[in-house]
Amino acid sequence: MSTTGQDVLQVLREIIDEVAEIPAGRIGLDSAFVSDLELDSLAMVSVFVLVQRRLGVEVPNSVVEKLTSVGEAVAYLEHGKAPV
Amino acid sequence: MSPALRGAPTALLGLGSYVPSRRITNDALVDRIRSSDEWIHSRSGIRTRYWADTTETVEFMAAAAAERALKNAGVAAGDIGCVLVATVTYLRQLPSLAAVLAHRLGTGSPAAFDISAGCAGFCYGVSLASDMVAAGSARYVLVVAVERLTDLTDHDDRQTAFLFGDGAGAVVVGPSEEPGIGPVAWGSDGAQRDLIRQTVPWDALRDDPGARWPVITMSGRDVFRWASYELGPVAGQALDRAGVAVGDLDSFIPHQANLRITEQLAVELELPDHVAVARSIAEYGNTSAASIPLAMHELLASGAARPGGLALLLAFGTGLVWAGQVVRLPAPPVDPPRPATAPPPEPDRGGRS
Repeated sequence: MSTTGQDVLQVLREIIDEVAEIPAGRIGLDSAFVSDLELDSLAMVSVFVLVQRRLGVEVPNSVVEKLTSVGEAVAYLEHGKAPV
Repeated sequence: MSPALRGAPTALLGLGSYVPSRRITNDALVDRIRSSDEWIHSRSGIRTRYWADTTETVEFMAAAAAERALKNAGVAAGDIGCVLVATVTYLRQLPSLAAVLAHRLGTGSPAAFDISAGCAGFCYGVSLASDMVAAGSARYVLVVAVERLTDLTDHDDRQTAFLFGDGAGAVVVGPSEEPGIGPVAWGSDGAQRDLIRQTVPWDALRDDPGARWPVITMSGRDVFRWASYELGPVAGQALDRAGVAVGDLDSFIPHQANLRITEQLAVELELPDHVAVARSIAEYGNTSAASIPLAMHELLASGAARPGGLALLLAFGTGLVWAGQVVRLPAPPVDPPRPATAPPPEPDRGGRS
């Protein structure tokens, strides 16, 4: 993939801001989707639908379930590596 | 008259609806499903829904909505050439509700049949009706969408118990000099048949002594995901086929499945600010096939949508099936949608379902 970690993080920040109105400045690699950003399961689906549209990477629900933090999502989008 | 629409020389001539008498707030449900008003509202947009009382049968609600639609269209029951009922909650396999309803309304002897297209039933019905009128098979077609979803709701299921409401909506489709109903964009994908389904078929009640009454079960997150990916392109097709740009629209009336799906679509379609968006799920919940005519009634009665304006209808449901079309809105009904003050006093002659 040609996108760098920083680019992916930036895109994710913009998408999360769009879906849940959380300012990009509050979103870091260690932000947890549920406990920090308070995204529920439908919001998570919305985030990854927009990821597919903007980055062209389809993330199945089975993977979305395992991604607990922004950092894990970036790692998956960059390297296809899902948490076990 | 608003911008032109490419479509059949047919139109929605009149609209009517029926909202049942029992107003149910989120607070009335939360103890049983260990939930909260806040959770339900944030997940779905729903604040209240209306549930039918015992005597507010599917037939009764359908007839009430149909009579209002006929009156608002100025069309006599005797002039109806076909009665078409969209429902998945008429619990009698035969005869069809449409045939029973046609008789009850005092029509002559029109063609009458039910269609099963889940929450897309109203859009399917309008499309069929328009085609029948355009082909000369019937001059006026009565399309009724009615659901008593509470009969098939699992009232202990945290994912769906709060979601569904009951109600009915109806339109009269007939000839028009100006095209008023655009070509439908529709389809199905039976590979998704398990996403929204009846838990067991009726014969399970006969064959398995321990079988529970069938209910609707739904994989909400998968449906949400499917809708997020697939509905935008269907809307685009419906607009293209009608030769209508989003800026030409007066209103957007999607099936009221979940407010978040509606909001996502409004963003994806880049609807201009002047387009009124139906959000009647807050008041009525998800009423399946009835949700679009109910939402249309509410938008027209509130003045948010304009008679003669172009509306994009878009629906999807069990199957999965989907349908969307652009229509020209009819004149508003005389009264706004108003919940019945009381159910009919006597058991309806059609029986419970």
